[in-house]
Amino acid sequence: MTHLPSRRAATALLAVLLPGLVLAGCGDDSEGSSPTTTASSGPATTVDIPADKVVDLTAQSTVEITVRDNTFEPSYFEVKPGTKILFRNDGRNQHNVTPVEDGRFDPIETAEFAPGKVGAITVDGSGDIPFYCTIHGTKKLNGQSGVIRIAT
Amino acid sequence: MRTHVRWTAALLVVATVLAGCGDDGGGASSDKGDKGSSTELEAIRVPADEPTIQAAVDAAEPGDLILVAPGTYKEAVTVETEDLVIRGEDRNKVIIDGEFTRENGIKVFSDGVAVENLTVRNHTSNGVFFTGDYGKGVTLRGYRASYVTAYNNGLYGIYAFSAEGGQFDHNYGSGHPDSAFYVGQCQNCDALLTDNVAERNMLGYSGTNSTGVTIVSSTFSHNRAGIVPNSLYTEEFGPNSGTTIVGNVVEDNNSAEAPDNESFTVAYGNGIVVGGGSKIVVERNLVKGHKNAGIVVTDMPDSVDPSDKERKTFKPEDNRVIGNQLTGNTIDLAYLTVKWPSDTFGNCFEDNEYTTSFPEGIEEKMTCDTDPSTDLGDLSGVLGQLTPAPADADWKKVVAPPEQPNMPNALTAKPRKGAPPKKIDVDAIEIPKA
Repeated sequence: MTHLPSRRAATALLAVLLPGLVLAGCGDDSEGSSPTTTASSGPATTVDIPADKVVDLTAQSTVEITVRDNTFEPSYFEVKPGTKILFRNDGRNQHNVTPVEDGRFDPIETAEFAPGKVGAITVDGSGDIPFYCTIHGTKKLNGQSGVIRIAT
Repeated sequence: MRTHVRWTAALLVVATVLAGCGDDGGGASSDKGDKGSSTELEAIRVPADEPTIQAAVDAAEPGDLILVAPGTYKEAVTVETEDLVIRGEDRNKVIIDGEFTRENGIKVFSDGVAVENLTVRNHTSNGVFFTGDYGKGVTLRGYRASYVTAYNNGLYGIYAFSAEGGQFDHNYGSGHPDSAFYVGQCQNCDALLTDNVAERNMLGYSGTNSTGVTIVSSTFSHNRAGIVPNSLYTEEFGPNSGTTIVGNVVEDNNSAEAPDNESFTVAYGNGIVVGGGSKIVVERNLVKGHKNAGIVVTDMPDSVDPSDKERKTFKPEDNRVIGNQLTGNTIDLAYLTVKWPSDTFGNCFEDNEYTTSFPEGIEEKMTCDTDPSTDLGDLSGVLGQLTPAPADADWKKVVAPPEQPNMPNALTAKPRKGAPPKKIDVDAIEIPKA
């Protein structure tokens, strides 16, 4: 299994800034490197993800994401605007699905997402929607986390 | 070194000079623990330097020591910086309290972190949690929890997941509805658990699909079940293909005061349960006082295979139960397959000091040289003999533990980051005294 670069580099590659900013990855794991940010017009958030890691689900109007202990499968995926996304908790533990940026979608709360349950969200707009499980992940997309990419 | 630590150290030096030469021991460093000055250590101090543990973590550089003064800290700490050591000055007086509201006491996503000498309690999920992320190909490398007291957290006390190269030592865990200690989903776990105590949990230890864990010289008592390495389809890397369990005291795991967990209710009243694992070694443990079995090798529990949505178990295979001392268990040694045929599958029992077994004559029927395809016949009869689990207990109300021993020299010991454990001589570990 490949170990990503250090957490600092991983954070630099995957960290999300406020909407309207684009985060460019720093590319290596050298200590002290800091992300490059460029203000851009429009509200879209962009997360730097290797292209081969994003699963193309744009052919489906309803998409099902498997939630296991403790991961989303797939973690990164691309859908069309208006796609309904079903998250199924196939794990043994509690999880939740929470947007990193408030308001991007209504979270699937822990209390409603016990093992065996299915939660649904519908996504719209443009850009990337990072999300995470607050129990097993972080807003910086470490641990159980992922990104929904809205296809243009 | 951190700028604020430089200023703190400088001011202390000036103060010492202005005070003149003090009497014996004034400001002198000491290896004698609590009486020594804490001014020797380079550390970010909480609350002296930073008001909260999280603020200290956020301010820290890789390799820093965060030293936390006595107090109750009502915060959830997230660590994403490598090689930090978070240490309490006093294990029993540095308390991270989740107030049954926050999910985790300390959750760690970076390599090389150590948490030591503090208490984590009352979290809705976990006390201390080290994790990578399988979905993104991330394995956390290097972790340690030492002299941590974890109690009444809603899932695990101290928990390592998708992580390799770590150690849990001298910890205490109670009141967890899953387990006090858990190491799961790793193919080369390289994890050592030593000198820990688990009581009044659903499971003292649970390890799902974790190959390469060594559990030694620890005590598991008054849980619902003691030590349960297992294999489930809900995590990757199944089956559990190698756990070493040697030299532990495993007694009276029949507790009605411990909380239940429906995934493992079937394990109630057993000391050591090899649940669908392979190549697991259970040697020289003292196992006594269980209402069901002292040591049982089984294919249970079952779980849903995501590939076909069927409930299945993993075949128990090539597990070795050797040289243990068992007494006072309803059945000392047991072998039971529920979904798999009743072949021996290379599982063996030899040189144990025991009285009762299922099937009878287990050490004659299941030697380490027995043909793995040997059919033992109908094993289902034992199921009707099992003592059922009592009603669930509220994990939030499990009695708080007594004070636990502090780590040596908490105020002066140099920080040691989380790292793969040193090799130990497992063969030299003897059966604990009764």
